[in-house]
Amino acid sequence: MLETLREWGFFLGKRLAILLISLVLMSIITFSVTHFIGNPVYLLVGPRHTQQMLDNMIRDLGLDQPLWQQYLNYAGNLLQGDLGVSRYSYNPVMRDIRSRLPATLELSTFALLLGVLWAVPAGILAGSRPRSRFARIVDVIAQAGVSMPSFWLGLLLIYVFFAKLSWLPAPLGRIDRQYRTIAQVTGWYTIDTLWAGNWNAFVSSVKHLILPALTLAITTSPSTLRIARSKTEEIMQSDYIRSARAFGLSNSTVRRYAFKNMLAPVVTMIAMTYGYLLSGTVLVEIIFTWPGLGLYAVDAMNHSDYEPVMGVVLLSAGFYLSIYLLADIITALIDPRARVTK
Amino acid sequence: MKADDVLVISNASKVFTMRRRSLKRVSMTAVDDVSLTVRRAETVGLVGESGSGKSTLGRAILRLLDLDGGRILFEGREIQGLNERVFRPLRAKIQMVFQNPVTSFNPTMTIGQTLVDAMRLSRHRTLKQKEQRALALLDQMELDERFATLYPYEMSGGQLQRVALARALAPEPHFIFLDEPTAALDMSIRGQIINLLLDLQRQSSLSFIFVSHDLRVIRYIADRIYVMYLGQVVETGTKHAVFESPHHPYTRALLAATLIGQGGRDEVRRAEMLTGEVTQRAHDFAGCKLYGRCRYATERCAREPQVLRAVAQDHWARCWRAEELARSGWLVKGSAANEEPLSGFRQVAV
Repeated sequence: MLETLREWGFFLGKRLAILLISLVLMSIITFSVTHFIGNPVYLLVGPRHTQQMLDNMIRDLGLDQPLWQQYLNYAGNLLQGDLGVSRYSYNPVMRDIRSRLPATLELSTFALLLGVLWAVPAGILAGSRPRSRFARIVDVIAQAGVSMPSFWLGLLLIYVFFAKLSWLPAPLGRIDRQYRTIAQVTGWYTIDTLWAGNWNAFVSSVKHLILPALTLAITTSPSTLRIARSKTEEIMQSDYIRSARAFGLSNSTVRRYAFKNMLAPVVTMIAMTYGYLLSGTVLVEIIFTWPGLGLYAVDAMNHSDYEPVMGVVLLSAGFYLSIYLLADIITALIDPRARVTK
Repeated sequence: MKADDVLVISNASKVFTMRRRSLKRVSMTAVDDVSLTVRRAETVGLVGESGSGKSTLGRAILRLLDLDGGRILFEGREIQGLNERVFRPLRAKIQMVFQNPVTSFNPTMTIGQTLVDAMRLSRHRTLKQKEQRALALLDQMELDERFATLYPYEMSGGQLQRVALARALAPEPHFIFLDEPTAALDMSIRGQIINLLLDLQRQSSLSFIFVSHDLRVIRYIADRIYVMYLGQVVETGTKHAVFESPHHPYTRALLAATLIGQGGRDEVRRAEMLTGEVTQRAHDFAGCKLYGRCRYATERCAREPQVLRAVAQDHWARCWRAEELARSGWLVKGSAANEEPLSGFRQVAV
């Protein structure tokens, strides 16, 4: 017992240390890259400036200080939860991100759920009967999902379900205009509308969410499906499953063992997909005019606006790393081998 | 069927059909009309290169797959075609040890849990008794009690293979199919495992089928031998008969291969060896399956499928030239290397 506790202590300590170090490195990298790219001052002062205006601007932004000093200032602010101010809109980046994060989170989470809900069961079924017709159909679907670009699929879905069938609303934002005043509790319209007890608003938010979520689910789930499928197939043909059968263990027990051993790699893959979704939804956000972080970051980049870009990158990195940590913990709970730190 | 026959396989056959990329179906006969008997407290050695159908046979005996033809009698009872519910109580009596000890354990279960799991069918035991028996079995394998709390990845291959044996013994079987149980182990551990097997056999009249590439191990442990090639038994007989007077060219080649470098006339042994490799075509070839690789092959071999026929008392071979070959003398007879090739095993045993 004590041994196990110590093992877990080591494991968690090491993972947390890695997470912190990665975040620091990440902040240094984003900071350096954005500051090496170029000086934004000329964009800010406009074409009709004097040398005096230029110097003032440089001093105000602290760009006359050495780079390491600038970084330390930035990092100090970061520790206080201050991501700086957008040089374009003069909004605090933290506030911008806070207002846009729920949109991205809602979209990626639903996309992930949709993907996992179909990919994991389908992968398990196909893996247990690798030569069946079902497995072949699943393969074709997965192959198609992987090879379709998300922007193309998004447009196709819009064309079919909005333009042709008119089943779903126009791809303009997260909810119909008249419901935008609904009280923001979580920032997730699907939850806030239910919280407010407004059924029609809820339906509207789901209708807006379904196509972008589906687009992302179809294009990102095949990797999870493949892992679930190949792992199930491998495990079901493994010697230890064979011996479990030979010892007269019931089919349901054997399946439970196989499921448990298949889970660890699948969880890792789901975590990777989630991390990707949080930062990789830009194209889909553009197509569906979804006011999320991706759109925000792209806008900022177009304006050479450092702070929002760094903020979004850091936030994504933090998310990625936390989700990985969570996946590692789950894996370690399932598989004793993963707990060993060397 | 005699009273002391534990396992009787007659005319077993299994054909696998695979779909190739060209969508053409290709069938492969993995087991081709195999008959085999294992008596009580006897070790049958099964020899042959990969793809000769040994493992398929093992899986059929454990009913992990169905044969396409033939019968398998276990202690007088037909087990082919039994449904799982009827067969399950018999599973305790028929066990298997796999070649690779590392992959034959569930990585997420401790050794203790695995051993208790193996006694799933021993309904007369309580959990406490099962745990005690698990520890007793570990002890019998000369493994410390603390191994019960370890996970497979924390153990060495040799230790795991002993646990695999303990696991196979846990449900008190009458018969164990040993699928190359020593192939993944190094020499000294190999000796230990084999001596352990022989001790167990003496104590509880266990019957084994022991599959191996290693003819020296087979020679040490087996009472009778079946040599398989591409799903067929090409020669069978007592250990003495097969080793001292091999009748089939394939057996001769195998024996010659193991004796190269053991002193004596290597050039004669090299001449005895097969040429080429197993080809897909050999599966649906009309004549002898060894045709094309056999130095004794004639035009008749290409034309005529060979049958397994008695060549001496308790000795059968699948070759029409068998007697002629045997008369020509066996090149390693009497050589020093052949007398006691496994004398090392006892010495390394603990």
